[in-house]
Amino acid sequence: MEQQLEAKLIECLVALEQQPLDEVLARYPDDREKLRPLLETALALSRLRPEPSPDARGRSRAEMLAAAQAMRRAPALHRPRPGRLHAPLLELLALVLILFGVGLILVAISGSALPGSTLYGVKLGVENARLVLASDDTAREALAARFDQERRDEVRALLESGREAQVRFNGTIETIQPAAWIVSALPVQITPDTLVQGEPAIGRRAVVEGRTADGLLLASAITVEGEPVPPRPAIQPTAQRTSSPSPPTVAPTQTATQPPTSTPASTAIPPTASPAPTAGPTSPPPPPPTEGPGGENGNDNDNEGHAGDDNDDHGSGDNDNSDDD
Amino acid sequence: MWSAHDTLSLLPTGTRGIPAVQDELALLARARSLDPEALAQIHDLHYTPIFRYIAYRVSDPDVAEDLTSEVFVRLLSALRDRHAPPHTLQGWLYGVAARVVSDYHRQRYRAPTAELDNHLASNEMGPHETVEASLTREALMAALDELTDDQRTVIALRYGSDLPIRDVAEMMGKTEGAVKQLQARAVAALARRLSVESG
Repeated sequence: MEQQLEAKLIECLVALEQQPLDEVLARYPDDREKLRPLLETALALSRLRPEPSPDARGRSRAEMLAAAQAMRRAPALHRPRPGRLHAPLLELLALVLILFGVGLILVAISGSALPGSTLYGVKLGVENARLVLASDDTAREALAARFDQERRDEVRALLESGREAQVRFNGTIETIQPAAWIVSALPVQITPDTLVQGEPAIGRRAVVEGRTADGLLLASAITVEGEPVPPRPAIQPTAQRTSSPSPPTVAPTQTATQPPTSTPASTAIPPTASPAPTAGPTSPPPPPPTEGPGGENGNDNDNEGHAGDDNDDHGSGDNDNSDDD
Repeated sequence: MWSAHDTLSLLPTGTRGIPAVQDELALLARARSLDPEALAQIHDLHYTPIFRYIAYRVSDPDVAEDLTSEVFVRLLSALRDRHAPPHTLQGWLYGVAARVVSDYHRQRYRAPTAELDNHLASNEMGPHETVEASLTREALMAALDELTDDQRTVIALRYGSDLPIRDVAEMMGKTEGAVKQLQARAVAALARRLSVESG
């Protein structure tokens, strides 16, 4: 019943827009008295609706036009140009693009930078970032090996150009003479001031710090990594510190034909560390030199000899359990 | 409730003093350059229906006047900032008006009123009672406060602004049938309320 009345009311409300009330009510004589007050309410809604006062309408119009005039007077302060970004956003975007572009250029140029140049720090920074961001340990080790080779190439370039620069690199000791060593094919001059830490031996890894000048690399410090080996009288570097440096034309008398020791360095030695190796009574003696994997020449050992990597090589993992214990 | 905020629907124009689409596009183009004549024309065309719509939504004519002015100030800001409707003003203006009303109600928070029964209550009215005879505008506005938001919006758009069912349905995001039903129930609720008050 109510739904039927609602349907009739809906129809009558639509009809009421075109017809007088009585004509609309005549459609449903039976419900005439129920529909009448409803339709009268609808008529009242139109008849009694509020009207704006002329004053209010005039005020609103005047306010709008005054505001428009103010906007026209100061368009630059408020009105953004169509289709363009706001100025601050544009400036920020331009700054970011410039910084990004400059950064890319710096990184590209720094790739060939040598020690002592302004961009060398950028080069090292990029390398460090790449090491940090490497996806896994394998990738990180490969990168470190590449960067080690890069250091040696830099030293070689400095020696060829005769430029002066402070350098630091690591490599494999290939030749040991009183006045000069060969480390990964690079001649290293030993002076009385050269500080040698560790036990030098052919095939061992060493970190060389020094300075290039006039085509010579004068070592200030050499840190030999790895387990101590029995002293070899003929190659005691400390006994030769009084000898004067000689040009690196000396042909090596001890060459890299001597294979590296079979036990890779067991501890990473920081440049300033000077561990005093003490062979305890239970310490196994170092095995005799044998040809290790990848030990054909010094350069091939590069991937094995990074500081920090040597620990992993100890015992090729077979002794891990005993180390842990 | 109102769901046509900022919608730029192309409503049928050319009725009740609203210019045809082409005329309105030309008017809008001039208004975007803040042409005073075009702005005044837009204001005069839309002021009264927008005022009536707002007045039915807030009950207080003084408040309705202020809020209607606010709608046109916002239109000006939108024209300046290129956010104004690209095609037609009518739907856009009612959307802004709805927001202005909502902001007003939010600011003067009022406790939610109990909704009237949505069903018709004709049985409660005597068959010979007449609403129109004793009805005043104040009583009508007071009775509007008892409607639901949707009911009141339909009343404001249909009887305040004289908008056709189709336009109201589009603005509110409802079907025409739903709008007709809302209108009928709102009218019935008002009639019952006014009858109770006068009785």
